[in-house]
Amino acid sequence: MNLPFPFGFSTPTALYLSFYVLTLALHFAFMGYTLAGAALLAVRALLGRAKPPPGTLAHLVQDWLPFGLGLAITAGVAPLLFLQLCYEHAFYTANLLLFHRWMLIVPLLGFGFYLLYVLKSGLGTRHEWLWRSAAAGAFLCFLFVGWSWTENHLLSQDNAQWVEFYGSGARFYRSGGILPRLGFWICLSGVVLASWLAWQLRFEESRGPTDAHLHRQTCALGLASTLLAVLTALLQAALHPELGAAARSAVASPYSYLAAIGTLSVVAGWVVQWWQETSSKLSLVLTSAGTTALLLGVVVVREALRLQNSDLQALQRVTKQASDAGGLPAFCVFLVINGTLVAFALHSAVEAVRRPQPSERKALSSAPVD
Amino acid sequence: MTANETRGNVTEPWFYPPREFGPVMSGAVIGGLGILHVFLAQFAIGGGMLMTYVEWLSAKGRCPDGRIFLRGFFRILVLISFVLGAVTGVGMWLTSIQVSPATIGLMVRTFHWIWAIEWTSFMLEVISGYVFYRYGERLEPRRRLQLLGLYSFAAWSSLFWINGILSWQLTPGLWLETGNVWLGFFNPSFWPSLLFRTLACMATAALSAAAVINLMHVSRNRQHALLAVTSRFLIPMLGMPFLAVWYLLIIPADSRSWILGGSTVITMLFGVGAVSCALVAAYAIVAVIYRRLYVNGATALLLIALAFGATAGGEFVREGARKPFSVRETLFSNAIAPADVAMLRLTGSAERDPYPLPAALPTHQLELGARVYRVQCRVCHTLSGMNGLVHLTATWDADQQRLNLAKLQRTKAFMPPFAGTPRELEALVQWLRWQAHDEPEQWPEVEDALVLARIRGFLDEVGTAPGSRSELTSARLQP
Repeated sequence: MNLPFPFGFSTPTALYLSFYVLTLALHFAFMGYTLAGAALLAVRALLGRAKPPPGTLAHLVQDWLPFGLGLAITAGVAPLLFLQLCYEHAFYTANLLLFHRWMLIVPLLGFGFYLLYVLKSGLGTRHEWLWRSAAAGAFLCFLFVGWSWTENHLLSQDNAQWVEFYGSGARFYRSGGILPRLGFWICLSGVVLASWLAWQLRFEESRGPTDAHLHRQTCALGLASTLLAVLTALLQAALHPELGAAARSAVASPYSYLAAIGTLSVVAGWVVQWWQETSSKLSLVLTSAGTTALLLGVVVVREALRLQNSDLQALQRVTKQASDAGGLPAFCVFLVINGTLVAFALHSAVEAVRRPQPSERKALSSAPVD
Repeated sequence: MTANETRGNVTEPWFYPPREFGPVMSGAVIGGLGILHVFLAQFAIGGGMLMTYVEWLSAKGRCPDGRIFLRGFFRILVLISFVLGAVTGVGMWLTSIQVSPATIGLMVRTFHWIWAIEWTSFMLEVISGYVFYRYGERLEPRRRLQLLGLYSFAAWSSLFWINGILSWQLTPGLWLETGNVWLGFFNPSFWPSLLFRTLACMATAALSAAAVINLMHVSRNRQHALLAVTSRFLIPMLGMPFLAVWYLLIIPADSRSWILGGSTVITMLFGVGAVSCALVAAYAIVAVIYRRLYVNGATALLLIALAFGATAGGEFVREGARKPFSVRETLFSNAIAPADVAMLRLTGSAERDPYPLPAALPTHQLELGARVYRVQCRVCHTLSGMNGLVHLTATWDADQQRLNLAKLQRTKAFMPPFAGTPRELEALVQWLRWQAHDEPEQWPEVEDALVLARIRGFLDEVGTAPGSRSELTSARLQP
């Protein structure tokens, strides 16, 4: 295959793979916020600190985490759908092999969700130990879900091991690829979280001045996460040469460059924000566009590696059958309709934010620096 | 694309690692989670409609405590439905994969764009709902109503989309001939099912509202006034019997016969659902609407429990009535396509299964029998737990087992035909007998050519068509 993704594939395959990577990137945009946000609160808890007061980044994150998780789960429906369609046999087999251990992600996701509400509730204010336990617990739940997805992804591609894995009765798939890969995604989550936080601070600014420290903390989070993401990506490439080969392949190389450009853009955005001590339009454009490019590049490179190990003929056959089933025009129509309605709902939120009630105004500028 | 082409991929020789849930049959696992998810979804969908109605009344000045109610109700809805509803929704998909990957695979291949449309509804539901929850107090009444309208439209449209897929499983309609996704989606049972579910959503919301109203810190009179408003959502329950009759008339004759006495379990579950529903409706109409009695918290919870029972009964009936299919005329409950049965009787169903058995068995024949069980029986049966095969066949002698399993679709019309070679059937018989004898260390292999010939005769005699009444009737009608 000598053409960049998705051009080397038949039209149906290209279509479904494109929807898969696009919706996966969207899912990660929310999932990253949740995972890194929960990590931020867990670190705070481990440092023995109490529930964050208003006017801190941790408080901002804590306030929005349940919504972030709700969106992450909902946005995750689409990539899960296209994943089943494109890699039915491999994905289903990995699900079945991991069995109860894999299914644990469902109750743990629910448990973690409720812990996020505990963090926000008055219970956390009255009982510090409860807040700390909930913060650590929520992060562990989401970490387990992330671990399980990574494990599932790698096991689904390791078809030579399936029969032996089943026969051994094992519930954990051991692979040297899991930790560096999971580490990379956690670091990338930090990049995503910082990008969202910059927007959240921008909204707060529209209601009044915000403390410069908050912007710098966001910059520091973004820069550190980006640096660590680059390091873990390089580590992965060093440990698994096939990943480097996939990234350099004709299918993925434009996206590797896209990810690299995205990384530079993100770094530039944080530097600008650091100097300006505010979420300026320039820094927001640089960080948001950079993060989007980085995410898109990474998910395509990830896919290129999987495609190298996949039965492409089966993939083309299945996607051809699926495309013949019909329904795409209706999807496009409803995507536009519901997308417009979502925009309307978000516009309503912006209207409401810009019309704050005095009693609800959090004095970000006068609050203690966290 | 024809239905055959859609089904084509199902017949690929993909073996999945077989999994069992101990003494619980797989159907009960997916059924249990499904009932919880459906009930939560009913709460969310009906809740959206109810809140929109109350908001509209509030804006008109006809429900003074409407705003207080909305705050309390939406908080519960967010905590229960937004969390558990979303999580169990994902759980349904993952559990379906554990139970029958071939079935969910076929559904995804056929209806992925419908599911993708439903996904856009989910996004709208979550975002509009959360915006209202978080900023509703700051918005003008008109915008509040618009947002709630959006939320309830999105929630109900998710029901609209999934209803088409679920009802297609029982009544695929003209999809069978054309493979057209829209003919499958707007299938014969689509409308009665959609309307019935919509009424169930409204009733669930009204009952939940009764519980929430009892938690509100306002006087009894004001609570009672609110109850009078929200209980109006129970009145449409009067339409349920008509919709149920419409549904029963439209589903296949054999499915109807399971519900109306043909299968004791399904009939009993139908009874549980119908009686629970009738009790809720009777109390609602007579006590709450007509006599204007107050519903206290305990009564509200009892009514919610009854509604849950009705949902459970209804969902189990819907699942059970499909037997022997998981997708009518397309895929049997054990994920074997009807078109493949004849071929599998020649080539065998289990011998190519690469996944090892948990433990070595005394003979190769027993190992083959265990594999046949995994491929053909495991989805609906356990070995010795719920619907346990050893228990079900314990009183049959060997010849009776051979006959009954070979002519399985006639032994019980809601069973699929046996889809393997005579050698596989004999292996299954020996394995069941070995199990019934407490797994002795020694067990003779039965490779009697006469026995295998007799089994072949039974299989040829019964054919590969399903044994349910509609197919028998149509077969008899053929010249």
